[in-house]
Order: sequence, then C-alpha cells, then structure tokens
Amino acid sequence: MTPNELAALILGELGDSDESIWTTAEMLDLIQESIYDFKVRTLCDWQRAALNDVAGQATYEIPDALNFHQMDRAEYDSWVVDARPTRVQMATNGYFETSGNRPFSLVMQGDGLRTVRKIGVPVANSALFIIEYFSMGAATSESPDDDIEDLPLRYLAYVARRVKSEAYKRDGDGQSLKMAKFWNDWYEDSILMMERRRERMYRRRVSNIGSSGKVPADLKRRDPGTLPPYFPAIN
Amino acid sequence: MTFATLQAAVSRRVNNERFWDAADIARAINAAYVEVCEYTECFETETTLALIPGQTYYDLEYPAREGGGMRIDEFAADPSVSGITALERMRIATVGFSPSAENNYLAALVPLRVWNNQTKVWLDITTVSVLDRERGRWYVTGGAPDRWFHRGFSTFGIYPKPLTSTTDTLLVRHSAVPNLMVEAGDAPEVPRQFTEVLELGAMTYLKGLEREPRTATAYWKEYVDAREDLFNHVQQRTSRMHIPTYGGAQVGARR
Repeated sequence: MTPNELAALILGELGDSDESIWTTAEMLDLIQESIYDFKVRTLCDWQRAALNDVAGQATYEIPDALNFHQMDRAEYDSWVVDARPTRVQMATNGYFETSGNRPFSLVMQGDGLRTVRKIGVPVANSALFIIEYFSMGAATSESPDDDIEDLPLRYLAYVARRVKSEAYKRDGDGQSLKMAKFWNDWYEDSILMMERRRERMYRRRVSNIGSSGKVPADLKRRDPGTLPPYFPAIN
Repeated sequence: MTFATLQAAVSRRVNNERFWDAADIARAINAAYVEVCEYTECFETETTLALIPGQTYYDLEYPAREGGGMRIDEFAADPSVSGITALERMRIATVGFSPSAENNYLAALVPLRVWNNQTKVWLDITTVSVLDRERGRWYVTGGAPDRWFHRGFSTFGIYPKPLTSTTDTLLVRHSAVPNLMVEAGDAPEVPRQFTEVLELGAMTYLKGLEREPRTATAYWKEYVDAREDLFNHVQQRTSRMHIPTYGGAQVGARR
C-alpha cells in the first residue's frame, strides 16, 4: 500500500473523500509522523547494515538512507564492538580519538546524534564494520506513490488510528475532540500491545539456570527407556 | 461460530443499513480478527524453514531480508540473487518460510520453539550478549544450528549456521495471525467461548467510523475487557497450581 492509497482510505473513513475538510497533503504529513511515532515507540524494525571503515577516519555519520533511530549492537570482523560512554574512554585511554588499529569499541556521544566514533581508529579501508540498529522507517512523504515496504500492512491499520486522531484534533471544520480521544486511545492500545509482546520476548530469554544455556544434544534426545514397574500398565 | 454467524450477529447489533453493507461488516470483523489474534497470540502454528547457506538472521515478516529485503518466495525466484544453487532455489521456493497462501496464516508473529529436523534436537533459546561473551566470532561459525535468539520483533537468529550448501530445515513453532475469513463457513481461530470479542471489535470500529464517540467508547471498553480475557486465557491454559514454578520458567504464566 502506498501513502497516497492510505491517505485516500483514511479520508474515506473520515467521511471526507472529496477533501472538503482535510486534504491529501495533510494526510500524507500525518501518515509520515504517525509511522515515525509507531516505529520509534515500538522499536519494531530491526536492521543490520555496514558502516565501512575509511583509513584514518574516526567519526562516521550514519547515512540518512539507513533511517537510523537507535543503535542496538555493532561488530567488527564478526567480533562484538562494545558501545561505551565517553567518560570510560577518557579514563582508560586518553588517546582514544587518535590511537588506531582496528575498531574494538564505539562511542556515540559528543560528536553529534548520528555520528559513530570508532575506537581504535581504522588504519585501512574495509567493509567489516557492521551496525545493528532500530530503524525509524523511510521518509514516506517524499515518495507517496511507492509502497510502504518496511511496515507490515496490518500495522498501517494501527498507524491510521493516530492519523484519524490527529485529524479530528485539528482546529476548524471537522474538529471533534471526543473522536480524537477515541482513536488516540485505540492507537495507544496498539503501542501497548507491542510493548507487552516485547516484554514477554525478553522475559523468555531467562530460561536456563546455573548453566551457560547449553544442554548436550544427547541429553535432550535421550531414550526414556522402559517404564519402571511401579507405574502400572494401562490397557 | 462461523463467519456467517458473526456477520449476522454484528449486523443485528449495528442495525444501520444506511451506512453499512455486508462487505463493510465483513471487513470490520476481519480487522478485529487480525488485531485480536495479534494482541492475544491465540493462534499457534508451525512452519518449515529452509536454511540458507551463510544466513544467520531470518525475518518472520520478511524472511529473506538479509538476502535483499525480499520475501523468501521472491528471494528464491529472483535470478539476480547469488550465493544459492539452482537446487537450493527450487527447494526454498517449495518449502521456504513464506507467509503465502500455502500456509494457514497471514503473518507469523513470534517464534516459540525451534526444532532442527536433521540433528533432531530442540534449539536452545539464548541471547546475543551471551553469544558475544562466550563465543567470540559466533557470527561466522559454521555448523548445524543448536541455538536461536530474538532480534527485534519478527527477526530471529540461529547459531551456528550452515556455511555451505545444505538441505537442512528447521521446524519453527510460532504464533501467527491466521488467514482472513472469506467463506461463510470459515470458523475463526479463536476459542468459541471468546468469539464475542470479534463482534465487539467490529462494533467498536464501525461506531468509530460513524463518529458516535459515546457508543464507540462503550463498545471499546467491552472489547478491551473481552480481549484481555482471551489474552489471559492464552497465557494460562494450564491451571497455575499444576505448573512447577521452579526458577523463572513460568514467569509468563504467573503475570
């Protein structure tokens, strides 16, 4: 579904297909900000991309095209790269901005919101540095005829609730604060759903006690053998 | 309870032929159906996942994202995708992890447990931080998968991963959003003691579109309560007192 198609659908649901109250341009703006809101609050879009090394360059602006929102993890040559606060770097290695070899940690502090400082500074060009991050999604308002591909279709139904809420909230014809509240409550409920699911997923990770989590394969598929005689036979 | 009886029930409640025809009511019921199933994760199913050489991450929404952001059926059909043989391409297209009509669901949600069809073991759930700590270059380690981990919402990873051509598959049991109801005789994948939640959800939607805030809000409250009942049922299918609560294994059921 494209932003234009979604805008037409929402205008229809608002009973304003002829755009006498709200316009398509207004809908496109609201769709854009609602998608950002949904993605940023639910962190539902996890991505992985290369942030290539340039010899002697310490700071790297994350390209706009990645739609970066928040760093999750990074790796260099498949080794994890620790994200650290600047004060730790300053305390442990005063020359962290210039000393180099291969990146083993990174800081995102003091160089701009979307700038990654690699520590140590790469001494050769390479494509071994990978970032894993949560995306805020593509700028849909710039390409309203392209499919919204990075958000499953059913989530657009949730996004549409926020669009309707914002449309009803606006001053002027069509304003209805009660309807705005109704759709906003339903949208917030969708966010809550995603948060609860994420919470359950994180809880499930705590599944092994007293071990590194590895159960030998031969134990998991061991033959239960014959029931001992104190279990009576049931015919 | 079938799609037809649900439509009849909503039609009786909404009682407004001036605004809504049968197609509108069907759409409202299906919209509620998708949301209820997503919220409560009341539908569980399984899918066979064909492993792709060198691929760690699989996306339940877009299974071949790492291979180019395509669904796996598109991925397998795209001749420009390199790194897989013609045989693998055919196998992926046949048994691949594809949210298509071949499966009985519209979208996969969360993996619940994963079975390796070749080594015949359950994969242990783990985390990336544990792997980082214990297995330095786990991302490039080859072998038969014996662990899996969540990444983001619909993405999960496996460790180790097959590095060369393989015919191995994983059986993933997961929650899902079932296919939409289309035929009159279609039955929702919601336990029948809870199907009223679909009526309430459809009514909330239709009254919202009618711009009747008071009625819509009244239905909304009933809908949320009914949906919560179903959610709790899904989380507590086994009576709590019979679940051994050693450690944290049953945290989800005790909420």
